Amino acid sequence: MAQDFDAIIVGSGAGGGIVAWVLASKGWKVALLEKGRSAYPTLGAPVLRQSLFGNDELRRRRYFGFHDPFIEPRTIVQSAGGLAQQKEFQGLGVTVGGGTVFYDGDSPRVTQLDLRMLSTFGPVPGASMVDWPISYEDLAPHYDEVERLIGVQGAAGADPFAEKRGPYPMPPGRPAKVGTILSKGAKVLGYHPHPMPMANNSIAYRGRPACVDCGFCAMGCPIDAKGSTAVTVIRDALLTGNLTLLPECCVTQVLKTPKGDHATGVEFLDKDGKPSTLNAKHIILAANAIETPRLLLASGIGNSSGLLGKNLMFHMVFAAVGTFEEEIRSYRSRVVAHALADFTVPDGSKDYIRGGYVELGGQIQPVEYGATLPRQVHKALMVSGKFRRKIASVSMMGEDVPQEGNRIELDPKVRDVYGRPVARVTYVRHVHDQTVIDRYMPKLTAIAKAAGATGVMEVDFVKEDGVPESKHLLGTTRMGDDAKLSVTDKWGRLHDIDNVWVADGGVFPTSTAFNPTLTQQALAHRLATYLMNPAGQGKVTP
Amino acid sequence: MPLPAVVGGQVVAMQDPKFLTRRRFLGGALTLVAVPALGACRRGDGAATARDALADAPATSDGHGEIAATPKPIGRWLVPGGTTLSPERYAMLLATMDALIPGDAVSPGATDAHAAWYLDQLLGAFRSQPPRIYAGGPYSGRHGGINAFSSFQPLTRIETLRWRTYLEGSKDASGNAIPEREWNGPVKGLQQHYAEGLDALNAAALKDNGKGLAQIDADAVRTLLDSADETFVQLVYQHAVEGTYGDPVYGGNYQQSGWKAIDYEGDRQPIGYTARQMSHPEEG
Repeated sequence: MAQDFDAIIVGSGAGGGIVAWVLASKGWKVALLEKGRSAYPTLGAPVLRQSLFGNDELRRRRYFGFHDPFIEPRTIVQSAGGLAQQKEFQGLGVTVGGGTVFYDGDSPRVTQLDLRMLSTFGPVPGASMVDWPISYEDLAPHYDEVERLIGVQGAAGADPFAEKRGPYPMPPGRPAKVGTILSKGAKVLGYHPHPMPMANNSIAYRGRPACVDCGFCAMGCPIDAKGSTAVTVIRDALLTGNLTLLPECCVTQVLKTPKGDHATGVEFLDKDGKPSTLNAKHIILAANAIETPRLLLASGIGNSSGLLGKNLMFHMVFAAVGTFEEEIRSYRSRVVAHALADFTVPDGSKDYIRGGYVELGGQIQPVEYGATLPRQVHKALMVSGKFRRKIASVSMMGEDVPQEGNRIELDPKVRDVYGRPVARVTYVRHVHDQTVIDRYMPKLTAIAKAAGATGVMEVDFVKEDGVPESKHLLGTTRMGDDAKLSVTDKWGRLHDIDNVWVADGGVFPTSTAFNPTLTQQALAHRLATYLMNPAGQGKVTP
Repeated sequence: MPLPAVVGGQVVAMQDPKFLTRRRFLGGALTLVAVPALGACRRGDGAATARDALADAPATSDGHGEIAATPKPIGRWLVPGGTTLSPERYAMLLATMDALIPGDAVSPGATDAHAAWYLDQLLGAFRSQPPRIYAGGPYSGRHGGINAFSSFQPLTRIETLRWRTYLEGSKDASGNAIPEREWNGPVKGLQQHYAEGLDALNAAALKDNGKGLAQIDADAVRTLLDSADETFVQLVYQHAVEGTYGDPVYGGNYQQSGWKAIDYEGDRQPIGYTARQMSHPEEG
């Protein structure tokens, strides 16, 4: 059969964008299918001008370029035999660039400890803890490459708990008051705050300007100072002439041979809603850890282990939000400027393994804030600014231990606007994770108080019944060496099919103590490097 | 992590003796915080408010539309011409939003910010082409650069289907299903939600006060809202907030009155903040 492309990539976010660049830059003909629209009319032109994002909360509230639960609902089951309820759930960007268009840009690396949870700490009852099939050394050169491609600011050596590394592509950006006072408080208590590694330009970098700290990162960067995959690797790949970008194209099936062990292409609905197909030698799925298993389940592919869609993980996100007498205006900054890793190291307790990475900062804009206030106190709180202008937040990324029962399935009834069964999510919080929250919350509160907070709100960012608010979607196509105990191999290839690969957070065997995006990107870079040259075993060659 | 969920998440402990002590911020706050502003609406008569509501009119470029027809007095309110809602319902909407986010001596409220006009613009978004759903990018022009916000973006096929279904519902004028809008079953549109919700509030006002929603004062409206269908009240509240603090290009936040009321700078691109503004926010 004649091939339309060497590779088809489904999803243009963190992982898909990186894979597109590696393959296209080495001469492969690549199609990148994206369900959402493009917000960059000139993305492939010699000069990049004018994104369609703006400092505008309403376009974000109206789901511009975002997962829209009205057209693509998800159903949630929160206990065994419970009712599936239709809800807004863990939305990410649905646009060229995916989640990286709207994320903060937090780009820490993991440590070797994160990849060796089972062998270091032993099993956790009720959890499916495992080691990763790769080591930090396997990832390190890919971290370096990704940081260079998307542009990451940071200070090498500033975090004493991080693995050794070379200099960042650019220095930390300008300090905001929120990070300065919280760092001071953390230092008083003997912790080690450092500039948060961020995919935001602190200086002009590879044709994109420095960030001006407008504070609207969550609405998409209007000046392309954030290193989303759209304005970095996808744009670079388009300029090679080898990438065909297909926005507003929704993949409905991965097509396979009659025997079922080889994929031939994808079926999709084009811009006009017309069913169409494309063929390719390789299919790379990077639609995120909810959407990728949803597509695989709908295609009847990849589930010989029975684990496809299982071990779904987020992160426990919880915070001590300090209220201050003075003006903080934490929105005058990129979202996070400082962090600390002290709690990612075990403290010797027998009740839990450890805590997670801590962000010093966080911000809120007025529509979002006002809309969540009880209407009876709206006016007083809006005008006083107590919880908007005078807050500083210390928040932790608590590890979410993997559980087979937490999973993605296809909903038997509910359909999306494309006529596809929607994802049905089952999630129950593990007692380990709740223990971590209970034990570490006081430590976060102590930091806020040491920074001068006169009051502290302790907040568990949670939906009802323990489902975290985190947007970190991980673990439904876990990688491993044993095909009976994992869905993908150590490169991200499905054990069941020799040419279908996963390049999103689904391959994480455990959730790690860190924001996951940069690690997803390093894994995607490693996958693509191997795919181009299997003999090289994923080694980066100049 | 952005902070929005601070106020939506579950607060597990409050350690501020001056503020809240209850476990849940959302339920607990209601009974514990004194809100002087709520009772002190600055308007003695309806006419002042009505003039504010009318001041919407002038240019099309700032999102406040063109109001050609003669304003119509209804109850305590003057209703501009050219609305998507019927004039009677528009007056009811003004009364409801005014009760939810009142103005006072120091700060404007939802009606001053033209939040009703904002919602009406959303309901009638498809009366313009491109529909007034997504403002353009990247800048408003208020801080340099071009004013791109006022050039609304053409919608994609899916976005058009989405917003038509959301606003108009899944039935045509004769009540027959439009198949492509019923991917997940029948949908009642936002226009109908508002028509029915406002009529229900008005009926309750007639029953309790002997006068319609647009005739009674803000305190009486608030009393009504406390026993009304909270789902609808929340819907109006969300839109009142959006219309008060959202970008002016969508028809609300008139002359940035919502932002001025809460000492907020609004959009900042392309200039952002200076290093000094970041490190010393107390200086203003």
